Amino acid sequence: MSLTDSTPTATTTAGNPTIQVPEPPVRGRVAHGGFVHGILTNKKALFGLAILVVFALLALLAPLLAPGNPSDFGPEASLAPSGNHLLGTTSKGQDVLALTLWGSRSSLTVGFTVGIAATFIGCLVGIASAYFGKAIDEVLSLLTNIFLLIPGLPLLVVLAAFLPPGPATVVIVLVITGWAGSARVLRSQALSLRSKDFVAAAVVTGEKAWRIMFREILPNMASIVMSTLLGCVIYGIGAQAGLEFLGLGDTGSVSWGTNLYWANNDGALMTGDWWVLLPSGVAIAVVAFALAMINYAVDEITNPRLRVEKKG
Amino acid sequence: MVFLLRRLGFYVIAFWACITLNFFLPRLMPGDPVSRMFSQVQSQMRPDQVDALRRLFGLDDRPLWEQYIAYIGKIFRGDMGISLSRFPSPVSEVIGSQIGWTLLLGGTSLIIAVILGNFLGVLAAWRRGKFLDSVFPPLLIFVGSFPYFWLAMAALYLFGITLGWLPLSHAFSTGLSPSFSLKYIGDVAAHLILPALTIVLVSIGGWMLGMRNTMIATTAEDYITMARAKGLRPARIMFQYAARNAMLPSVTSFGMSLGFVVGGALLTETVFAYPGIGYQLLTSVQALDYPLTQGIFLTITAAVLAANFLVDIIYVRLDPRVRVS
Amino acid sequence: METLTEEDRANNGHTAAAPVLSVKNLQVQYTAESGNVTAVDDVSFDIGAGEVFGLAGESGCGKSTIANAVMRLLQTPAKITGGSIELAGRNLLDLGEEELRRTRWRDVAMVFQSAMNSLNPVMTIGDQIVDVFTTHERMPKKAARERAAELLKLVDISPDRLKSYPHQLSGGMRQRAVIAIALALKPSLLIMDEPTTALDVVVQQEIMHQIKELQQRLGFSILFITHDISLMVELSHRMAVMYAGKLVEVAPSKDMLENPLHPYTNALMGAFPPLSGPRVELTGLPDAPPNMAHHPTGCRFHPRCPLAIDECRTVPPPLLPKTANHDAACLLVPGYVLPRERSRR
Repeated sequence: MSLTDSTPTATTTAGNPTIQVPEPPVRGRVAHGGFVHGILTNKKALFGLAILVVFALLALLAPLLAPGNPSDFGPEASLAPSGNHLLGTTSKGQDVLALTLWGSRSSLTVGFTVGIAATFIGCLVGIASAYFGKAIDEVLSLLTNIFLLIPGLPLLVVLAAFLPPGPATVVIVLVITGWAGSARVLRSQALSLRSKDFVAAAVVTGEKAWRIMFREILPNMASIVMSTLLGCVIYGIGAQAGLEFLGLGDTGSVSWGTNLYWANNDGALMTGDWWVLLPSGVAIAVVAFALAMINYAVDEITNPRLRVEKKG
Repeated sequence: MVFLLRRLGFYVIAFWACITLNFFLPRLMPGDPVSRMFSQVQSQMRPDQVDALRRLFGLDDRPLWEQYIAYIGKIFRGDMGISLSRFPSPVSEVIGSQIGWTLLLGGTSLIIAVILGNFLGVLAAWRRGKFLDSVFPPLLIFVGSFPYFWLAMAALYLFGITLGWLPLSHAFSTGLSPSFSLKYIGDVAAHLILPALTIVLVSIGGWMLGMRNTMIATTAEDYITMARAKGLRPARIMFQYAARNAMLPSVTSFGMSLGFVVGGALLTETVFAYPGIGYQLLTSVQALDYPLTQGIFLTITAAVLAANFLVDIIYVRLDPRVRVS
Repeated sequence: METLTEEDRANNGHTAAAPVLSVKNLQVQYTAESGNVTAVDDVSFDIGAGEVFGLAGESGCGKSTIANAVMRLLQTPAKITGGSIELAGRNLLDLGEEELRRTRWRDVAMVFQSAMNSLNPVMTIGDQIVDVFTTHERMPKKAARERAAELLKLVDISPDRLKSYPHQLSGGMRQRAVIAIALALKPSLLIMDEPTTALDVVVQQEIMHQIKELQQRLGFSILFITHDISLMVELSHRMAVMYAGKLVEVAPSKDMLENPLHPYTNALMGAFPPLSGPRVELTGLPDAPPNMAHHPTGCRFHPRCPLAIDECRTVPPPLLPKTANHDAACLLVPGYVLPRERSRR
């Protein structure tokens, strides 16, 4: 006789009719199947993922596609794109295609490293803040807000100016300036989960704090973590490029940022060698766009209200 | 009032954190960047100036806490040392002579981006799924995916070098001297267009999307339904009821995004050799002019914090709920 | 038993004059990916001039959907898919956007469930009353403000509250302010969707008293929606009980109270004994709203009905008159004859 199970009921809350689907039984994990399914059937997400896969493959295969050291000077300087050099050459005779392919290795590695590290710190700070509350929350939130407020790029410049140059510095500096945003978002999400019954139940049954934080709370905010991760990777790639463009990164390495730095330094703009500037910039934009598209899709999947309703 | 005082307290703490960071960075860094700096500049300085500089960077024998207190004291008197690359001008003077350009560039582009972006966001949300809502967001995300400096270079190449419509660099033409003449102001405006355009292009998408999403959430509120039931005109519901409420989170994120705008201005200034403090910051780093680097960092931070406080004051005016508590 | 003609049925209200609101065969559907949900199914009722008509039922049964349909406030995914809603002789479903905008609040106003949320938090109460006058009557601001002050006095709020923001008022005051706004243009029909659910009992009583008093003084009709039967019996002249998107019983409140025909009405009334047979404890209805996406066959109430017989599982009972103004939709009502059999006769 009971009709309790899975009954989506149409209710109206004063003029805003919504189909209320009953919340899944609160306890532990939310089914991730729906989320993965959502990603795999969302056009924007698939589009973004496809671009990312292509770039990852190109980065992996760079030694095969463009053998040799891409920074070595060559005899053919400042050539426009042609059959020999598909994307032309720099004023030092380097092949732009080779530079771009090799550059993707550093840019993607640094971008994802920074993204993952910043999200990890963000998770740690955000969840701890929400879980412990009180003084710990006060201190951690204060710290988060300070880092959010200090203008990132100037801080980046100052830190890079004092730290010894090198790839590790770039990553560390970017993580320092990039974690706060995710901590703030994750804290507010964790805070709403903190008040849920299943967390209270776990606390009462005496589960350990770290276990509650990472086994009970974290899995339930997977989509938000995902979306902050994407945001942090976008930040990492862009900020690395900015830092290196200013000559404050690791100018000895080959990345999209250093490519642009050298192009600008060698006056590619003034001599009209646009092909030297184009590929690395477009590569950054396309990767960032792909990540933003996936992010957009994640938003749509987790927040159905943003989806455009079908007409009819 | 309580709200504003609490915010003010927070900004003071944030500024103190920056000063502290500034104080410890040169003292704790490996590789001794400071002695590198000294070897470069010592010859052109008087002994007392060298002494002052040593103290600024912790090369004296006083205990750390004494140095720290003295340092904070100096900062609050506006004494940030002497610039090495612009020797013998004090850091504050160098910054003072250039901050106006940054305020002009950053302010202009910020205002345009915020107003235009939010307006587009309101329209997109109001006409869900229509042209504006389906074409603009992905387009602007794509444009916003380009690095600031790259768009700046592209704009420079296209409009400056290839088409020759707009000046390539600096804030005004060489040979012109600052005055309140129409010619000078027009010249400054012409130099402003390209750098401002790039900042607007990159940042407008974020504003539009943010506003669109809050608007969509707001239009589901009961008071919007009631406004529709009241038979109000759509424009009034859209602006006075929906947008008026949806802009509140936008105002909050405005403060947060100031830091990004400053960063964008810094990169843009670099490309256009625009004589603001962003460009100066980079030059000072390259010249190992640490006092100036630190001074600019502190100034930028102070400016951002002050702007945030202004935003808080505006927020209190806009949201009656925080006004009285 | 006597059967009634369609005309008799249309006139079964307590007034013979043309009804203020006449809802006929209204159907509202929610479109969802998993399929359409019919939230309101073939609902018809009239409200006469000066009549207070109550609509009762569990949350989710579709009663608020009816309210929003009458105001034409439904938004995707909800859609009116059939029937008509006539307000003072005009079918609201035929109106264009601009006509609709002019009609709203002038002819029919609504008091929403939660006063806290139905007032714009960043506008003063005064401005939210004034914009009704400036929009609908093109009244100058100053005159509108005077009218707003009068309105507040009408609901016992001091006029200096005009400058207050919603968060500065108590819950009861906010709801009274909303009622004042609703009465601004003296509409002939006022829809009240659970106007007191968010309030505590004492305030609830005050508000109900005030509504009653205002209704008697100003003579407007009310479509009153609540799940609280006792409140409804107190206020309304006539009432309808709704279950799973369908009306199951319509009668003058007094009749409904004294002689409920439908087992579901019985259940709602709580402790009242059933019509016939042994006394059955009905108060313990399983607290499960009906599944709106998949209605059971036959009578929608049968899975929860303690009196259900085999026929209830297969035959959907339409709403039929038992007496001149008391309709019910239940096979077990004595004298209930299905239309098919009736037509055969």
